[in-house]
Amino acid sequence: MSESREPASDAVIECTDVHKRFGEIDVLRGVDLTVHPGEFVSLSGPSGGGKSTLLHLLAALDHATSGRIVVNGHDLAKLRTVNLFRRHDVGIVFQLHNLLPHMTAGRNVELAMFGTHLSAQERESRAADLLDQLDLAQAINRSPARLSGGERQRVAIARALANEPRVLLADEPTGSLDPDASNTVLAVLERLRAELDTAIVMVTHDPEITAQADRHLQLSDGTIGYPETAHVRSSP
Amino acid sequence: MRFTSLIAHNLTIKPLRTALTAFAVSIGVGAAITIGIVTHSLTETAVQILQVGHADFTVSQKGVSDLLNSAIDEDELEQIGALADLESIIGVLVAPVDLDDDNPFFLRIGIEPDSMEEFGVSVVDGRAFTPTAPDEIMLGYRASRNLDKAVGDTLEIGDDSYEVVGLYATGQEFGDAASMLPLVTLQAQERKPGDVTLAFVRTSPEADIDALRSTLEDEFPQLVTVRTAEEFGRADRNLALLTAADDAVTIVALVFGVIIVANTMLLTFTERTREFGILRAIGWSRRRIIAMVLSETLVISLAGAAIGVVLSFLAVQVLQRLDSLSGLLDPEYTSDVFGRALITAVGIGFLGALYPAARAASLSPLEALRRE
Repeated sequence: MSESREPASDAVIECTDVHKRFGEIDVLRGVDLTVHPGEFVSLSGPSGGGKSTLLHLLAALDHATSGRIVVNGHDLAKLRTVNLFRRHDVGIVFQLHNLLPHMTAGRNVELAMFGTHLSAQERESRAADLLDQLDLAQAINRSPARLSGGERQRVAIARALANEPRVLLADEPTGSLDPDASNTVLAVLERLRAELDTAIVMVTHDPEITAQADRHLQLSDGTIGYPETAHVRSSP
Repeated sequence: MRFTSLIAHNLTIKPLRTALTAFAVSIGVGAAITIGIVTHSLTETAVQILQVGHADFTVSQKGVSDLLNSAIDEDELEQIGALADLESIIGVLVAPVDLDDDNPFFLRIGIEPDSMEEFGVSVVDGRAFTPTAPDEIMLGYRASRNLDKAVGDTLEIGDDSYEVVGLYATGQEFGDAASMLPLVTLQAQERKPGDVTLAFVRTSPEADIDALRSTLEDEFPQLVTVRTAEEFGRADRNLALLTAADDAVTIVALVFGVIIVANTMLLTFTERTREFGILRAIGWSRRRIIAMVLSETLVISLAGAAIGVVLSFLAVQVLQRLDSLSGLLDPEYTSDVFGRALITAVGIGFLGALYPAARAASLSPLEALRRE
């Protein structure tokens, strides 16, 4: 991926004047965002404000109409091996966990490691370790249907972290969870951030989560701003 | 989990569909193999007739539907015998007869006794028939065994009785399972005086065989020469048609299989769109998705090939019991048969999965994830 590698920078995410248009609708209108390693940024805003769209752009699941996005040193507009980027540089957690229903928790995590240098045994071992770290050791052989909502999201987080990405993108991962499950997921993310120095950008409407973020940003009318009750913690 | 385990796992998600798809492939493969075996067996049977004479090449009437309908005038044989570089020519009349239920296609070969040695016939027991004996017959040693007849026994063919005066061997299975009797006797019985079915030609060592064949066919345009099994269609239109039908059935089976597999895989593709989207979103390459879909299909197809071989074996067993084919089919399950099954199955799997696999790989992850 050297073709898209940018000179070293402190930031793991740098968005400069990013626009995204769907037909006649400007969903993002000049987003500027910088995120540093280990930083936890929460993002909220009205429905249709472009939060998920921004995450999709950062995960290289979609292309910006204009502007520049650099993630972990890769200019996404110049990215040619997008699958390698998705596999190694970012991890994404969707609101609806998006686990494969016919696979066990362990195998869902292993899927993210196909195509890496890891052997089948190493993939299996790493999936077990990750699930263990997320207090899911007992669930490794269970299918998603036999997991609670919180457990599913933790499996999805384990999958997103399988290749130790520098950036974790989470789209309302606790949106469908009860407070206890939500707190568990949050605690896990906090612990992983501290241990792996992974930057987290999370779309959320949960005030308890935004309170724990280093920065809370509001995405409204396609631009980023600080909400009136902005909560800004010191950067790590 | 290895990639192969993943393929196996995916195939067990919908076991009934997997089994039915494999069965559909097996029908295509089985049809292709069965018709191939039948064609090969009939060709071998027919070619063995040509090879009885140990000749450099064989002459028959041109344009007959069946080789055994060929008729060559003995006068023509004399004229052919006068061609340069031709060492000898032997005319034989071949006529099948329905002997009994076990031998519905028993061959009688009419031949001059003094030509037998040159024809490659060795008398292994008893003696040769006399040139004009109306009631003497020789049996190939296999025929003797099959019919449980020995020298001195009587063989009934229709209303005629023959004394078995000798047993012979030709070193050629088909000839050894037949019978021989004086040419004039068989000509009289078949009401074909002066006619032979085939002529076996031996050339001088220095002869240019292909040139000699050309000369013969130029001078006798009503005749055709055959040297190899591949040329057999020149003399036997039925077999040529059967060979063409074999090719056609193989193509139809292939198309049939491809449509079934493509239909199933497209249905699977629709159901698994979200799965493909997830895999793409977590970093799976297009190539890996294509490999997964193609591998799943190939496994189904290979299972279908295995079932198809079994089905074709059963079908051939049934065909062998049909009166019209009894005694004619001597199926061989060679590596060619299995190679044909493998190629047909792989062809079906690859072509059937190509489009669904390409569609799966070209999906936008976001578009796929939006699908329910």
